[in-house]
This record gives sequence, structure tokens and C-alpha cells, in this order.
Amino acid sequence: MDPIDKLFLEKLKNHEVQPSEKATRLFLSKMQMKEDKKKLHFWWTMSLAASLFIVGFGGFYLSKNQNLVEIFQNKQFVEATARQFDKVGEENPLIIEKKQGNVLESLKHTKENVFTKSIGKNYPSQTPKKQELVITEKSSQFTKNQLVNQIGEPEQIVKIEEKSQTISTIDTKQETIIFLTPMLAMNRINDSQQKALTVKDLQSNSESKEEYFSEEKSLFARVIDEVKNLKKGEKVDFNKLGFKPIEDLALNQGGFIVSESHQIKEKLNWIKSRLNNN
Amino acid sequence: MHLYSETIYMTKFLSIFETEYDLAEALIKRDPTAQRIFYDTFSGKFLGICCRYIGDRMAAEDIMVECMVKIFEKANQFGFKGSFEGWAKKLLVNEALTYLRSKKMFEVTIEEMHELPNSYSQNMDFESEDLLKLIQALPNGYRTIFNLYAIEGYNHKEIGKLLGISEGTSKSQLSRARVILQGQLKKNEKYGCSI
Repeated sequence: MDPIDKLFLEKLKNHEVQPSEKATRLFLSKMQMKEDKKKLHFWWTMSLAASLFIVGFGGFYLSKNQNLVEIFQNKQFVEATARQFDKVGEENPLIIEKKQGNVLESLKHTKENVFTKSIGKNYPSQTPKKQELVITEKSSQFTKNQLVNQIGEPEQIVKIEEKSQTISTIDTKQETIIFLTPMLAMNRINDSQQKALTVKDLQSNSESKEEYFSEEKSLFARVIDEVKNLKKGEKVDFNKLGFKPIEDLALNQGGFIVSESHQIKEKLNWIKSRLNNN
Repeated sequence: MHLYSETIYMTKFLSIFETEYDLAEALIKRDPTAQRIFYDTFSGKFLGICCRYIGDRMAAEDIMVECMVKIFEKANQFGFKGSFEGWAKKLLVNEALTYLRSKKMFEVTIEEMHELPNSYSQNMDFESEDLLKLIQALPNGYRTIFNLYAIEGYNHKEIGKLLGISEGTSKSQLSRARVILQGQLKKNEKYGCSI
């Protein structure tokens, strides 16, 4: 080893220089800043979490309150209907066995009432019969025969098996499907020859589905269909789509093409005449 | 007073953290006490290294503080292989070199110098402070290479890789640095070692 290298190595290898007060203060301030940032970050996270919790809890509480209001309104409606029936002296069709029972059950009865009204069958006022609308899980599967029979005999009430326990667990969305589907089916039944269309049928038969929900196609949709179905080498048939023939458009005296070409011709003639004059 | 405080800190360091690895673990956990102890224990050593590379004392202090913070941030990258102090020193040297590069203070002159025969008395006792001043008086390029080769123990290949220069350039820079230092030592010997 070079003697100079050795000298410097021995003397400077572990040489220490005491940092000034300023350096120590700088270090401490940097560490403090880091600590502050850490704290700030912590509080940010906490406040964000707290606000999310408050918003979530508030939303949940409000939605629950709304449900309670709905329940209260439904209950009121049921009670009012019951009172009306009592006045007339009928047996109340909206039999609510439990006063504080499930609201969905009361809703079910209410909808049953609406359902019967919608098919135009009024029950005899003096001889009320206890009616039971029973909703099976696949209540949409009304058969034609069943429904026709039911409508054919006004005394007979739609009788379906009831599974009260299942109903109590059905949510409102499911109920909507349950009640609307038979109504649609019933409307179809009124049309004497038409077959009742069920959701199952809709799912199985795509053609009937189209037929059931079909609307007149827009021009845009027609053009898209035409372009989609084009084979190689074919051109779009605008006439088929309901456009005026392209030849007619070109020959139309009031149209854009004719008027433009007419103007160009006039300009050319004017230039020629100017040139001839000069 | 200085020695007393140093002893207190070292005792504190040893009492809380039995080994270097314990300290490293505490630093990984961002323990403020460990950070303070680390600073108090190693700031002198680290500033000594910075002063060897950077002539300006204020800048050296800034680099030392910056590097301390960096060590705390990167402590989790220490693989518990070898010395933690050595790992931290490597970071410090890199930081100093980055500073020199950023300030464009690192110049390399491709100039072949011939070493002078050792003409100063090797029995002459030089103070560390005096030698540090001699190093600080060197041009940046010479100083950096001399520090890396003579004190840190890097070879020319490693220096070339670290600084982006050829091995030959590194060798010539070192030789030039030695010539200058030798001349300065001789001069100081002549004038009774007052730099």
C-alpha cells in the first residue's frame, strides 16, 4: 500500500466531525415534519373512515325510516279498507291474522284486491267469500286452462296454494314480479284465442318474446340491420329502407344537386360572356 | 463535556439496543428514539465522511442530514447481511457523489502524472484535521477518487463503474492526487506542520 494512502487511511478512516447546532436543528425539524405528516396522514385516514361510516349509517338509518313510513302507510291503508268492509257488512277479505304481522302479507292481500279488480270481476256484495290468493314461487306459470276456468265462473275465486312462510321472506321486488305476471297473463286471456304468455314462455321462445315486446324499428335501426345483412359485393338498397330513389333526388329541380350545377353553369356563362366582350 | 455526552449516548444506545441489528430493526419500525440515538451516535462519523468528499462544510452537513433521513426511510431495504453501519456508509458515499454530480463539481482531467518519490518523513505525525484540510484542498475529481480508493477501499474497476469513467482515468486521477498530497505534506513538514 502506498504510504500516503496508508497515512490518510489511518488518520481519516474513523475521523469524526461534530455537527453544528444548526445541523442538529435541521435534523430535528425534518424528523418533526415527518412525524407531523404521519399524524396528518393518520387523521386523514381516520376522518375519511369516520365520514364514510357516518354516511353509510345515515343512509341505512334513512332507508330504514323510509321503510317504516311505507309500512305505516300500508298499515293505514289496510285498516281503512277493513273499516270500509266492516261498514258494508262484508266479511273482510283482507284478513290479517296478526295485527303486527308482516307487512308484505298485507301488501299481498292488497294487491290481490287490485288484481281481481283489474280483470273486471266484482264479487257479489252480499255473499262475500273468503278469498285466498296464494302465491307459489313460480306463480308466473299460470296455465291457460286454469285462468279460463277461473274467469268462466264468477263465484270461483282464484285459488292458489299459500306458503305463508315463504312469502314472509320474499322481498318487494320479487312480489312485483309475482303480481304483475299473472296480470299480464290475464290480460292476454281476455283476448279469447291468445295463449297466456308466461315468463317461462318468454324465456324459452325468443320469437314470441320479440312479438310481445316489439316496437316499430327506427330508421337508424333499419339502416344498421341492412348494413349488417349485406353480403359481399352487395349495395345498400335505400329504396327498401324507405328513402327516395337516388335518381329522383338527383333530378329534383328544387334539390341541392340541380340548383348547384345550375349556378355553376350560370357563372361559367357569365365568365365566357365577359371574356368575349373584352 | 463532549466526551461525557458521547459516553452517555453510547451507553444509552447499548442499553436499549444490544446489537446493531436491534437498532436496525427499531429503525425499520420508525422508532423515534432509535432514530435519535442513531443520529447522535453516527452523525460525527458521517459528517467526517461527507467533509472528505465535499469541501464546503455547510453543504456537507446538509448532505449528512439528508442522508440520515434517507437511511431511516430505506432501513427496510437492509438485508441484515453484514454491518448496518457499513450499509449506511455506502448510502452516504452515494449521496455525496450524487451531490457532486448534481452540482457538476466532479471534473476529470485526463492527464498522466508521474508519482514523485516519497520525500516526506514518514515519522512525522500529522493531525487528522490537518490531513482533512489537505484532502479538501484537492480538486473534486482527485479528491473523490483518492477517497474512494485510499480510504473506502474501492478498486479502480469499481470506481470507474461508480463514476462512469475508465479504469485508466481513475488511476491517473489517483496518481495526480497523490502527487499533490505528497507535495503538501512535504511543505508542511518543512514549515513545522502548520497547514
